[in-house]
Amino acid sequence: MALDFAATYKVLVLGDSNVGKTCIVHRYCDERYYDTYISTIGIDFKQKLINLDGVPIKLQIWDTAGQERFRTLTTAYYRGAMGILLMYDVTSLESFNNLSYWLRNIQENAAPDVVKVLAGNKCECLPAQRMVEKERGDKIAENFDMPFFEVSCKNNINIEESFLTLARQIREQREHRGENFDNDGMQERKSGTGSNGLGPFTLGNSPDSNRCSC
Amino acid sequence: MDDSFENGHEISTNDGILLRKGPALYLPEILQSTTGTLSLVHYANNVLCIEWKPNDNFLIADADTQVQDDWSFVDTIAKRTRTASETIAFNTSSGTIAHKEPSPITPATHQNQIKPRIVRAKIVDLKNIEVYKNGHSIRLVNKSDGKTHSEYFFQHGNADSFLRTLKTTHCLRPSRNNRNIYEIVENIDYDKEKLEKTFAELKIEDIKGSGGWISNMVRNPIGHTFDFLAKMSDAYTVLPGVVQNVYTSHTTDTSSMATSTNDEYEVLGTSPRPSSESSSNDNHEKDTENNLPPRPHIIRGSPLTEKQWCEFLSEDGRITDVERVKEVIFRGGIENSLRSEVWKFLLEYYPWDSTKIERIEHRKEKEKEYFKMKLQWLTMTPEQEKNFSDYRDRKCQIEKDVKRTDRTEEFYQGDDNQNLGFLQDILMTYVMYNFDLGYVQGMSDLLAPILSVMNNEVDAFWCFVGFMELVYTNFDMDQAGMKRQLQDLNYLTALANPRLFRYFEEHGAENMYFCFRWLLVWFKREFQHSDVLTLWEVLWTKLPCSNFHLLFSVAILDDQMNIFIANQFEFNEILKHVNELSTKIDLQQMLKKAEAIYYQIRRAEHLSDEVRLIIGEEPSNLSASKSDDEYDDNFDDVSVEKSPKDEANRQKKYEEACERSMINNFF
Repeated sequence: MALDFAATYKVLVLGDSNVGKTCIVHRYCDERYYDTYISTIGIDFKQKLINLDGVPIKLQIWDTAGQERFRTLTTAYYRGAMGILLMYDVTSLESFNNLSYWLRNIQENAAPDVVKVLAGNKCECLPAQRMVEKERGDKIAENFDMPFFEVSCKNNINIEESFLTLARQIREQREHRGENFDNDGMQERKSGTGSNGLGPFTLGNSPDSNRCSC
Repeated sequence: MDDSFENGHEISTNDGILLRKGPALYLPEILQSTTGTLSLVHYANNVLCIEWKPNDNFLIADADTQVQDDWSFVDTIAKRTRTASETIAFNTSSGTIAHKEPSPITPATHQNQIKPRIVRAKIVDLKNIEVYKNGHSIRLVNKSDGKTHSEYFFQHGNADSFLRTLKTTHCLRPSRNNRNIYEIVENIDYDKEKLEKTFAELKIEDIKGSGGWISNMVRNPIGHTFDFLAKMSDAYTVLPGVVQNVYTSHTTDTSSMATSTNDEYEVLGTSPRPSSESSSNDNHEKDTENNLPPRPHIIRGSPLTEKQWCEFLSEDGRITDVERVKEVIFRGGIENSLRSEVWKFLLEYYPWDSTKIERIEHRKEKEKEYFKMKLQWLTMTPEQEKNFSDYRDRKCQIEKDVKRTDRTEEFYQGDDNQNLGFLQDILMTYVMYNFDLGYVQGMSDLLAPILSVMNNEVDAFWCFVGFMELVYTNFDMDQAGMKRQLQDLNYLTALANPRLFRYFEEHGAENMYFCFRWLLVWFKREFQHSDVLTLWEVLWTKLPCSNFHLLFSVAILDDQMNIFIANQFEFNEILKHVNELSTKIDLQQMLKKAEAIYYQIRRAEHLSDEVRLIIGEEPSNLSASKSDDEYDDNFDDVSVEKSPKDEANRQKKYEEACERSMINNFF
C-alpha cells in the first residue's frame, strides 16, 4: 500500500540482561555474530531497510540496557514504539520467569496496541543447558497473543523470521487503524520517533509525539 | 567574583609580584609566572582585602602557536600595559602609583569587558602571613584550615614595604614565637579614614622600592633577562613536564636573545601589550556569541614521574604538597609504573598525610576488613541464598557482566583467566559492603581498569570503593543522579555554546540522553584502555572543579557541533553519531578544550547560581543554597548510630553467638 511507502517502523528489543538483545540486533542488521560482546550501557539503535512483501520499510531497532535500574531511561523509548521484540534466554529460567515483569512493563508504558513478538534465544544450546522447554514459550505466547520463535544468534536461526513477522504485524495494525481513523498514517512522519504507535486515542497532535523526553 | 566586591579603595599597591601558589584555578597564572600587583584594598562595610591581580589580561601562551614570538614567554612577564613614560614615572617615584591597567575594582572601564582574575583574601579570613626567602616571598595562611591561601614572590625587592603598610594599618602584628610570621589582628575596626591617614604616614617611595626590576632591565637588559630565566626555571622545577616544553625552547635560543634585546626593550618600553583576546583567538576557535570571555589556550604537561613523586615524599613517607601533586596529575596524568601507588591516594584508600609505616598498618587493617566481608558471602548457604532474592539478583547480574567486561584487554583474555574471578569476588564483596547500592550494570566497567592497574584483589577493592564514593549517585534506583547530571550538562552547554544548545532544543535533543553512557561510566566506553586511565586520574584530582567531567562532555559536544549542524541531525542521529564516536576522540585535545571552557565560564560575569554550584563556586545569593537541599532529597540519611541500649543488646547477642559457636567447636 502506498500508505506504508518507505515508512519507518520503530521497534524495541526488550528482555533481561544477557539474553542477547544486542546480539540479535547485530545479527540482523550487520549479519554478523560477535562472540566477545559487552553489556549495553544507555541506549542505541540500528536501522535496516527491508523488503516487506514488495514494499520497502525502514526498520529502526532500538537496543537497551537490560537491568531494571535503567528502566526509567528506557521507558521514554516505549512511547513511539510500534513493535516490541521480547526476548528471553532458553538457558536461563530466570529470564523466562521475568517475562511477566516485562509484559507488565510494556502494558504500563507502551501503546495499548503495540505489536509484540516473543523470542527465546540460544536455542542452539546443548540439551543439558536448556532450562526452558519450547512448550513453555508456546504457552506464554498463546496467552498473550504474540507470535513466538526459538532463535539462535550464533547459528542464525529464525532471526529474519522474527523481525519480518514483527514488521508484518505492525503493517497490519496500521492498516487496521487506518480503517478506523482516516487520517492515521497519512500524517507526515519524521524519521526516528515517528508520531505513530501512540495508540488510537492519542493520535494527531500530541505535543510529545516527536520527542524522546521522559 | 562575589558581587559585593565593588567600589573598593586601594590603600597601597606593590608591583612586580609573582603568584607562586594559589587556588587551583589560578594554575595557569602560576605556571606562566604572570606578574601582577599586590594591593591592600578597602571595601564598603569595612572589608579589607589583599588582592593580587595580573598586570595584563591574563593570557595563557601556547608554546606551539607562537613560533614567531619566541620571546613570548618572557614577554608574558616582561611586557606590560605600561608605556615608556609610565616606566619612568614608576622609577622616579612621582608619588602616585603607576596604574594604567584596568583597575580590578572597576572592571567596566576595561575595553574588553573582561574582569581581571583577582586572587583575593579577606584579611579577616587569614590566620597569619609568613615571610620567607629573605623577605622576598610571603605566604597567606587561611584561618579556617591553616592551609596556604596563596603565595607571592616580590620581584622588585622584598615584602617589607607591603608588610609595613599592613602593620601601620594595625592589621598585623609580629608573632611572639616566630619572627617570620605576622599574625592577623582580629576585630580591628578598619576605618577608612584612619587607614588613609596611616597610609599617608608611609613613605610612598618605600612602598615602591628602589631600583626595581624594570630599572635594572634598562641598565642591563641581557643580564636581567637571563636572571629572569633563571627565576623562571626555579618556578618550574616542580612541574618538569611543563618546564621542558617552555623553558628549553627559550634556552636553546639564547643566541638570538642578544640580538633581539633591543627590540625587546622597545616592546617593553613603548608598545602596550596587544589585547589578549585578539592574540588568543588568532589560533583558536571563534566564540559562539555567548558573551563569555575568550577561551584561553591551555598547555598540557607530562605525566607524574617516579622521580617527581619521590621528591614529594617526606622522610617518613608523607606526601608533602598534596595540592601540587594533584596539579601535576591534572596537567599530565601519571606514569604507568607509578599508577598503582598514586591511585591509592587519589582514591582515598591511603590518607595523603600518612607515613609509610602507618600505611603498612592501614593496609593490614583494610585487608582484614576486606576478607571479613568476603567471608560473609562465601559462607552463605544455598538455603540462605534461595531465600534471599535481592542477594541472588545481584550475584546473578555480576556473573553475567564479569564475563563480558574488557575481555579484549590482555588482562582479562581467555576463558579460565583468574582475573575474572577477582573481578567477580570484588564486586560480590562490594555488594556486602554496600548492599543498598549492590551491583548495577556499569560498575564492572569502573572496576576492571582499577584491578588491572592494582593487580591485587584487596587494593583494587578499596580503590574501587573510593571511586564509587565519587560516582555512586550514577547508580541511584530512580536514576536521579544521572538526571541531575544531564540537567547540569544542559546548563553548561547553554552557557558555553548557546548556538549548540539552541540546536539541541530545536531538534528534540535538549534532554542530552546521548551523553548517558559518557557520564555513567566516566567515558570508559569512549576511549582506549590507556586513555581511560589518564582521563580518570585527571578527573580524580577534582581539579579545577569536581564536575570537570561535565565540562569534558561539553568540550566533546562543542567539538562535534559542526557535524551535528551541517548534517541537520535530529535526536536519533545525534545519539547514533555520539555512540559511534567511541575510541575516536582525541583525549588531550578535549582535556585542553574542557579546561579552556572551564576558565571561560569561571571568568564570566553574572553566572546563575545553578552554574556556580556546578563549577564549584559559592552561590552569589546564599539563600539559593536551597538547591543543595533539593539535591539531597534523594538520599535518605539513615542514622546508623545506635542508642547505648541497642548497642548493649547487640553486644549481648554477639557474645552469645560466639559462645555457642565455641561450644560447637569444642564438642
